[in-house]
Amino acid sequence: MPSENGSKQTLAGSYTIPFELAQELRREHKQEDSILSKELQKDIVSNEYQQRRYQRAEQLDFSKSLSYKETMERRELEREEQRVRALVEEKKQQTIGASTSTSTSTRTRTRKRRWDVTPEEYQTDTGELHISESNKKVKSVIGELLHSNTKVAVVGGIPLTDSILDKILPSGYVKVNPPVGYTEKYESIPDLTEASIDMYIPPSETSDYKSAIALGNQLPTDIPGVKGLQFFKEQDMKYFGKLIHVTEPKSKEERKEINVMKLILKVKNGSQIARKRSLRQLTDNSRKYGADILLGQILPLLVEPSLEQSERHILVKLVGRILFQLDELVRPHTNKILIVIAPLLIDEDFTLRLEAREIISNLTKAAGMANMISNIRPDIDHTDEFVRNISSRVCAIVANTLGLSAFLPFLKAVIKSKKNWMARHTGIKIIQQLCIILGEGNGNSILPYLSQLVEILKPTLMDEILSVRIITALTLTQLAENVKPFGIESFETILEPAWIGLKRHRGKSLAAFLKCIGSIIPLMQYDNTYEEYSNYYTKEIVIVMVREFNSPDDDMRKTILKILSSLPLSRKLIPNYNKEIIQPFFKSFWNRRTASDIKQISKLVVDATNELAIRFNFLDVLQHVVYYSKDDNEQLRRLAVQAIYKLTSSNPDELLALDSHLETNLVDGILYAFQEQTIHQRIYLQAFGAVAKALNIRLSPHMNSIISTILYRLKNESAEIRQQAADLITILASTINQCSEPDNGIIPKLILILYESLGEVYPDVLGSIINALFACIDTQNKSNLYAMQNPSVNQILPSLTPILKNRQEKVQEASIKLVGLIANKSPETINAKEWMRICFELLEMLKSTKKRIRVAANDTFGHIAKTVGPQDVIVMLLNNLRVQERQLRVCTAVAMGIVAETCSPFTVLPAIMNEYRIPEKNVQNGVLKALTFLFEYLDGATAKDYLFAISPLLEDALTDRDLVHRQTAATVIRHIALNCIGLANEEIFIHFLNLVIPNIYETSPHVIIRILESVEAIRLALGNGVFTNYIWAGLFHPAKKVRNPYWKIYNTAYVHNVDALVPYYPKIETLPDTQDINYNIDELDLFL
Amino acid sequence: MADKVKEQNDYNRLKAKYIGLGNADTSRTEFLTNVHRDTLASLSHHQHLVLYNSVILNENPELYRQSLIKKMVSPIQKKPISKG
Repeated sequence: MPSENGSKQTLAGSYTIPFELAQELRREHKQEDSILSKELQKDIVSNEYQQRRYQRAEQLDFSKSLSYKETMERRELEREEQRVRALVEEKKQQTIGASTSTSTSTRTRTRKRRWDVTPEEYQTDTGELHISESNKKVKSVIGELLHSNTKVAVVGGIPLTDSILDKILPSGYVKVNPPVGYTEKYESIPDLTEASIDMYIPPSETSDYKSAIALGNQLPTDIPGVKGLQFFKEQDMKYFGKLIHVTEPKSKEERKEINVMKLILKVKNGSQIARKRSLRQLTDNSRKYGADILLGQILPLLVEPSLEQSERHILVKLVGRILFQLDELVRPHTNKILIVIAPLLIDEDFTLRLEAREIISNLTKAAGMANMISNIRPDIDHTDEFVRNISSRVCAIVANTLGLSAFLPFLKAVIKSKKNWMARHTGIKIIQQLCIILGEGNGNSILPYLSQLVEILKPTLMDEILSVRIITALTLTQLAENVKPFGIESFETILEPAWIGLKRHRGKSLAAFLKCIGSIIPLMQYDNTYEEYSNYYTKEIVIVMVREFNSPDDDMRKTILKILSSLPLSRKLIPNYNKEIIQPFFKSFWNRRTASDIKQISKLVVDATNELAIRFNFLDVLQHVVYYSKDDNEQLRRLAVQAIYKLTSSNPDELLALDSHLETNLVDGILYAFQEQTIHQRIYLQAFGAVAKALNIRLSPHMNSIISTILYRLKNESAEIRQQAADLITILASTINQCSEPDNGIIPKLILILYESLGEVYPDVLGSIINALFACIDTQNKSNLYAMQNPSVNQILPSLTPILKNRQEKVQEASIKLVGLIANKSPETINAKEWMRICFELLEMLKSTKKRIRVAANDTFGHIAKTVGPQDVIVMLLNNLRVQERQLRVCTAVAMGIVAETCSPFTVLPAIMNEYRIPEKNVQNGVLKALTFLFEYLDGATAKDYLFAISPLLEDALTDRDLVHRQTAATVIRHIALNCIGLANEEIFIHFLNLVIPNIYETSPHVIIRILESVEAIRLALGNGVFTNYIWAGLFHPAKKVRNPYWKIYNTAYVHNVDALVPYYPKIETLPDTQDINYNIDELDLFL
Repeated sequence: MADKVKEQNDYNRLKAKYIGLGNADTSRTEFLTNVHRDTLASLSHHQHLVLYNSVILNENPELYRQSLIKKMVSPIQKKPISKG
């Protein structure tokens, strides 16, 4: 029997899959168009995929809107077109194939049928075939042009496609390929689709910008009636040209439109103030202007390709606000808003994506479920993948907003669709996107519907279309990750089909199925009944994974590494682990290729190595890794160092069993890698630190070699190497101290060397050296420091004073910390005058822009104040309150708080309170601020002694005309009240409450927040009983302005402790106007 | 502007959780109903209060607790046509 495909006949058995099956698989792969994340990433980078949103803009016509039926019909037509095109394409392929080969196959088939077919019939049959084929071709040339989005030039009504040009031009012409880097401009080529339908389009209102350009070519800088513009671009003419040469608005509608245009222009191009003002005006009056005019102006602007990032951002914000105001009025425009906003869901800008999501969510709330679905429905099986991708995202947002229970029936219907695989694909993708929106581990809202969802997805796991199967597997993965650690019962049903899928697929699709099973197995650990399942599947999947270790595909490698670190592997499960997993793993992942691969993979390799080490044999794996730390290739060495860091830092206890040989190898390996590095990275230092911490005293035999390496590198001519050496000292200082004998004195020697290097020129290195000095001095106890001779502490400090003036931030921070350490550890070696000098230097530091420096400086103030006594320091700080800069005053206030805390309040409080008598706003505010910090730091037991002392000051502040006085005083009271709950008697707080409560009518946001907070704090200190007496009267006050704040206070009390409120509710028996209603609660009158 | 919207949203979210919250538009009846409901809920969920009251009324504590909860449906009722 001749073989049909004409392949060579052999008698030997076939060891590959049949030819037909291979063909089919290949075809399926070709058809697959689900966008994989990597490809999408690539597209996002090149931005081509996103550019497609501008091609949809033609549907954004406000004059006509298609009904649902029309849209569906149009979609049907498009699909049909595509199907016919695909058929024609296939036919073409076949004819080409037939002409090249001998095409015996068709003939043999016809011959077989000959016996019951007359020759005439046969003739007509084949003839018809030809005719219909050619018909299709003719139809499809036009159809293709009509409905595919390709745009070609049209001359005299004839589209100039390649095939037509071939007919028109005489032979001999050759088509020239466009030069490299040429991109087609879609705007410049006339749009065939529109031109062929209605030949001439009368200029609409917005297109008369051409005449405007012709009139005056220069762009206007000032537009009548619009002030505060920053710029006006050429593209803006298209939309706002009407504003320039309009004579006078005729109708009311037109006036409105002009108004809106002006405002939008201001929002888009205006200065910050103008923008803010018009934004507010638009939102406030949006109902007055109406959805038609507003959206009709904004939406076309949003799809303008030349729009800049900031302009788009502000317009999107505007749309969001308008939607909120318009509410149900937007319904008729849902489709248009979706067309414009939905593509932003895949924008590269994260905030824009979030905003778009927010808008669509709001739109869903306003438009309702039915409206949204009828608008998205036509796009779900759109022929264009871009449209489907976006509509799946929109659907996911709708489902998230309205709850899955409402959305589930629709989802079911879509996924069960038999007609079209694209609909199924999109439906499944909706679930996937929903999971992504919710985020990993946030499956609470999915969990109730999980078994239903899995049930829907079960048949599609065996779908005939490959891409549907892949997306199903990926979606199941996503679901499993979301609901972790619950839901294994629901997934049980799909384990088998998924496993069958795993066996049947190869390549990319195999990765998807691996992911699916690999994410379900970890769920089994949380339920004891699934132990057998878990063991079985883990064993089996390991076999598949080890087989795929060598796969060159990045996606597959990532999948395997991820699964490897989440599987419940154990020695018992795989007794022969060394040969079955660890060796193949090291063979295929620990090589130079992986090391030089993208960062993500090397990170995954490190994680997986760590996981294998924990699960199987820690020291064995460590030994493997250490081997690579002496490799010739630097990247592989770095990978090994990363792995060592991960291993030693996450399980330091495992190193206890380390034998001396491996120990030597480990330290040697790290040291080697450290010395040989050419690109200096932090990981080497971190790994060193982790190993030193784990080995601790066991590091002492190697100490000599480590220290000599450090010292050698500290003298290196490259600044980077010196810096790294100093950093290493910082990390190792405490271990060095432990490893050296007390009289040996390695640390003092290091201190001397570092002290001598203080003349360093490079600021970064200097900062590291000071940090190292800090770490070394920190290891010494007080008596050692006192006895230290060369250099003594009072030699070190004066040499730091000039360094404090250094402008570099790292140096500043390091030196302040060192000063603080000295002030803390050995203050008596320095005289008071020197300390005051340093205090003055430190005041300058409070100006620093870096918060860490200010914090360090303030801490140091505390230490110094403790040493030299608070009097001098506080006077200096009080003088500093009079300066202009706010930041400086705030920092001074903080410093005062710290000084008061370290030296107990009574030493500084009188001086601070005395300063309040100066009739100057800044000073008084500064004093209040200082009190805020002071009472924030003090605990209640201390603070309660000062309550009566400071109450006159607070009284004065709370009755001051200045808002800030009252606000700050309220904050002081809040801190006191919160610290003194249950400690102080209540009358002082009643007094405070009497003073604070009139302020609740303030409207300034900062003030009212502070006031309400302090009222809340007083409530906690006083208890609900007394406090609620202040509230009841206000709740039903005739004036709404009064009722408002009282309800606010009541609400917080209610939310915080409802049950405690019950005994204090007002007792009402009857009310005069409703005599017949009984308000009494009889249960409360029972007594025994 | 945005603050007000946010405040309103916060209020709505809390109101969904704590039904007894109110604002300037809350009516007297609504407030008093909530007061009654809170009181009844508190009475029925403190075990010792239930026990105490049921001893007074000579009822089964669990039945008494259920009657309290049932009463929460419409806590405020018209006076029965006067006894005297």
